[in-house]
Amino acid sequence: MARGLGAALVLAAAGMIGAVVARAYQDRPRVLRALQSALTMLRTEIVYAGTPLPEALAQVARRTPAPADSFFAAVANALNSRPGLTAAEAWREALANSPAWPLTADDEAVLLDLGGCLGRSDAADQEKHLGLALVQLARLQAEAEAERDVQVRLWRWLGVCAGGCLVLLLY
Amino acid sequence: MDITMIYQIAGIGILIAILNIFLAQAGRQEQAQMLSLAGVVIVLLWLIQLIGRLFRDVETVFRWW
Repeated sequence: MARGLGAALVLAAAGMIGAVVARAYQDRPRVLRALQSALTMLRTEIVYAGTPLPEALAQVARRTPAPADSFFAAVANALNSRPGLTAAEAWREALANSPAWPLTADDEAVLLDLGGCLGRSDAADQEKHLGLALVQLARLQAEAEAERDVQVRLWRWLGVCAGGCLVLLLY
Repeated sequence: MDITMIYQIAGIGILIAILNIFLAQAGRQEQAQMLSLAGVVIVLLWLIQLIGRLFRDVETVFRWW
């Protein structure tokens, strides 16, 4: 009885670990897509509406879905609450204590490059940098989607099968 | 010698075969090979105990004379 219970617990725990890892692979393309639409919104705000950066960032944060919005909100907050802070510094700080999103170092490097150019030059120049970041994010998203299709299935099965092997070894 | 040992070995074999397929699909050939090697080693460790018991039994049979 106790053995069966333990076996079921080990199996369930291993399966859950696999599902958690698979979830990260599943979430990354979604977050990348949200970031792209957020940056597109930011570009519109900067180029066509001419909104000041803190305000534009706050608006973007309001209209972006869950994991990515806290990042823009953090940048906007830092810019609003601490005058004298440059946009690049605020951007880097928000990225450093990064929100709980499943992005890799590559994705964050693109954002970091973009942050260094924001709020420093005229709208046309910023539009170019935002366009570059968007292209890079689109490439990363295609990569992430290809990776997701393979890795999600692998990690689900890896968790369950590893749990089964562990149960058989310990039984 | 109970039958559970055979079930255990069969179960390990099935699980490792499934994992092997998925690892190979994900393009991790080396890890798939290492995994099947690990499975063989684990099952061999069990088998060595069983074979040792068999030899002991044979020995006791022939010590009757």
